[in-house]
Amino acid sequence: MVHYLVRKAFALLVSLFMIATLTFFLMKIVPGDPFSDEQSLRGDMHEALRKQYGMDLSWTAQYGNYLNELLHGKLGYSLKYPGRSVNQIIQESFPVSAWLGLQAFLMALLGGVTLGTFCALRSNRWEERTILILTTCGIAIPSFILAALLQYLFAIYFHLLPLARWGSFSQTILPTLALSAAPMAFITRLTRSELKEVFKTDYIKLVRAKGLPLSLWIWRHALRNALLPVLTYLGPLLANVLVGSFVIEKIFSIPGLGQWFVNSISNRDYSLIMGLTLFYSLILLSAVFLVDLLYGYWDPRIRLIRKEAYE
Amino acid sequence: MFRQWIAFCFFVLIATGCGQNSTSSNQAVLRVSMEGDPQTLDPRRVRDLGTTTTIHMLYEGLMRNGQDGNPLPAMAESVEISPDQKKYTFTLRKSGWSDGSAVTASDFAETWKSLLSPQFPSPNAYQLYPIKGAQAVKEGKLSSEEIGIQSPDDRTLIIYLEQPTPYFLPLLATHFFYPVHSSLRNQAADAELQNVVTNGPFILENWKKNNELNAVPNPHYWDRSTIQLDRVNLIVLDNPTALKFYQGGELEWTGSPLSTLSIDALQSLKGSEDFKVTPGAGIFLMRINTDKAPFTSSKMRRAFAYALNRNDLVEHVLQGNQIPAFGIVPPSFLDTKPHFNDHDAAKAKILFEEALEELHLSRNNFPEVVIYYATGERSNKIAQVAQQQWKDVLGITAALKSQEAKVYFDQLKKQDYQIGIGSWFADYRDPISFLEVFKLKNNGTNNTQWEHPAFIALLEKSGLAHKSEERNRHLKSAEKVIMEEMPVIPLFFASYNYLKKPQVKGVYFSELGYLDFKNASLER
Repeated sequence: MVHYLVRKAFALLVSLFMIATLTFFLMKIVPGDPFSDEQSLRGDMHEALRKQYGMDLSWTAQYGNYLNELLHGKLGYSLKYPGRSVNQIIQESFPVSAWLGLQAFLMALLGGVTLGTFCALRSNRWEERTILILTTCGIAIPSFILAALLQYLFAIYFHLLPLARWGSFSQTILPTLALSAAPMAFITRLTRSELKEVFKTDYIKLVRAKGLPLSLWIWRHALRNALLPVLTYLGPLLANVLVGSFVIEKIFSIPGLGQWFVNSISNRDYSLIMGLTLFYSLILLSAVFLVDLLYGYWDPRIRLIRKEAYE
Repeated sequence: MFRQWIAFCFFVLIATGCGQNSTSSNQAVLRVSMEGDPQTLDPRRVRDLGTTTTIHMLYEGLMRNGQDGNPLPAMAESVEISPDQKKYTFTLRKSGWSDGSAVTASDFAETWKSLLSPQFPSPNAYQLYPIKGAQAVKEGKLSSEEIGIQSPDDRTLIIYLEQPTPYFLPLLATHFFYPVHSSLRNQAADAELQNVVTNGPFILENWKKNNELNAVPNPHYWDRSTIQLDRVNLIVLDNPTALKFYQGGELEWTGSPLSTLSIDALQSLKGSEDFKVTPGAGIFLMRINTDKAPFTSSKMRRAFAYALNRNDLVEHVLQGNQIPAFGIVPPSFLDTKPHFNDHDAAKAKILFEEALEELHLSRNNFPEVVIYYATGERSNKIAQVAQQQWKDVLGITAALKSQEAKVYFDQLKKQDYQIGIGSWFADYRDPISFLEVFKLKNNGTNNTQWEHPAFIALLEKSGLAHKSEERNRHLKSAEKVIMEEMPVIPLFFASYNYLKKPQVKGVYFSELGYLDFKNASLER
């Protein structure tokens, strides 16, 4: 087991390194300069600023400097917002995005599994058909249209919930709904189809024939087998919602990390781009790794296969 | 089970909805929406216009712009100018930093010296170049002792200039010359910005990054008694959301200068009593790359300029109450008569034919005309209108090339464009802030590859003029030269559109694009 963990950790580091290198050079290839804008700087001021931040060196030299700083644990400072370190920006914004992300994640997971199970149990009835139509809408409708719709209905028309911003629990409801709609729809469908397959198996038929009430077998015998593909989906989903959605955060004016991803690129804020990419990669790779570990716990067959592979 | 779940959800919805706070209190709180966070709280490093409002709130310089746009003594109680106009002696008032320490002359002197240090990454150090020795020090040729600034005692500041600079007092009212507390001066340039100590009418109470900035009056400010607001809240909001908040009564001000009212929304907002317009010290123009065919001929450039119908553009397309421009300098800065007529199709066609002859071209082998611009609502509309108008008048169809902002600026800098839509906003209140942009070919802000000896000579003469009438004469002649050469096509002068609740009074909206809340109040 330890062997397995060490190999995975090493693979993670190698992945991070490759991502950092690729991102760095892609970033430099894209035309544009962090210090250029409409008003334009005087030529000599522009050059002085570029020199200050080491941008007059060759790309490989800059890359070397960056790696050096990185190994010392320094992610650097934002180029557009002087005095704000990348660490500080992530520390301030990530908790907000993470909170919203976790809420949406839980809602999508619990809601999706519940609805999916309900669909599978009410197969071919009107309840299932309605939910299927709703899931199609949930996946097809872009999140920003849904967000605007929710805002209009609940905030402006019915005055039930706050329109935007972040701070109280009620301000998290609409963004959570908007963010969780598509994943919830997807999980619903996934759960439904997997569960329907599981219902056809002999052991479920036996359990039903034995007369066991639903609550006793639905989780232990049915869902535990059906949810494996859902588990696969959950890894990347967690990473994606955790770091924040640019669109939702913009519409609801939420001070999260999502906007930084997009804005740092438009601003060509090199140090921030690198820091955020590494941060996101770390989260994504960790989430996938966690799911991998969870597989073993979830499905004993996988544990055995793995054990054999490493012996 | 299902019904109980529905009931539970409904209950949660209602319960949370009831937890709304109302904002009624006896405090005079002014809430303004802004599109993005202030970039920095260090005036030496400000690069973007939106940040200047926050800087003007928290800091104060020797001079401050009054309601008529002219500079008034602020941190300075009085100023004495020597007869040769090269020595300014300021006597400072008694005023305090937000930590209680006194603002002294050396605060100003040391701030400017730190700015001019070659290692300091300041984007605006060149604004201090009128000061004697400043440029040489920044370029590392002299030591900082040689800068023409002296602070013989705490309340006297003497500044020596390279040459007479008629716009020096307006310049001192800009944030480029604001003082910075010693704690910030002693911080390394790349250190983290901690709690800043400031000397302006307001101090920072709280700053939730990318969310909200709260400022309250500075108890140590010399003019504390004139400040009537209890708090200013700058709230980061998406533009459409800000509009809804304003309409819901949660904001007192939205729109320019800190955010934008969408062009599509303008039509319906114009009827509102809250809708206000104020002219801005800025111009929207098209830069022409005078090195690229067919625009090497000034006649060709003028033909294209005269063919445009600016009235149509601002009235029917942009609808932002902008003023069509027939010169480079806004009318409030320099009262010149228009240098040409709007939509002068006849003259445009004549000039076009003459230019064709001059360049030995014909309509058949006319080189491609491409309009470059940074993707955006306004530039998009301008480009489409120009394309249409040039087609109607001259029969030339221009291609449109929209690019991502940074890519566009990169191309401008490399002069890899033909016609580029852009703008220029003045930093300080003087016509030369517009004319200077195009003085020299390799000025980073020029990018048209154009310069003209007569233009340069007139600008330099204006700098040496002693009387303002003589100076304005030279500046007007300079503007005439550039309009005859037309390296840039003026489109319209900027105007700021905003929504303001009727109870808000006394906010000074500077043409330079910032708000001054010092004398603002909220009527009950």
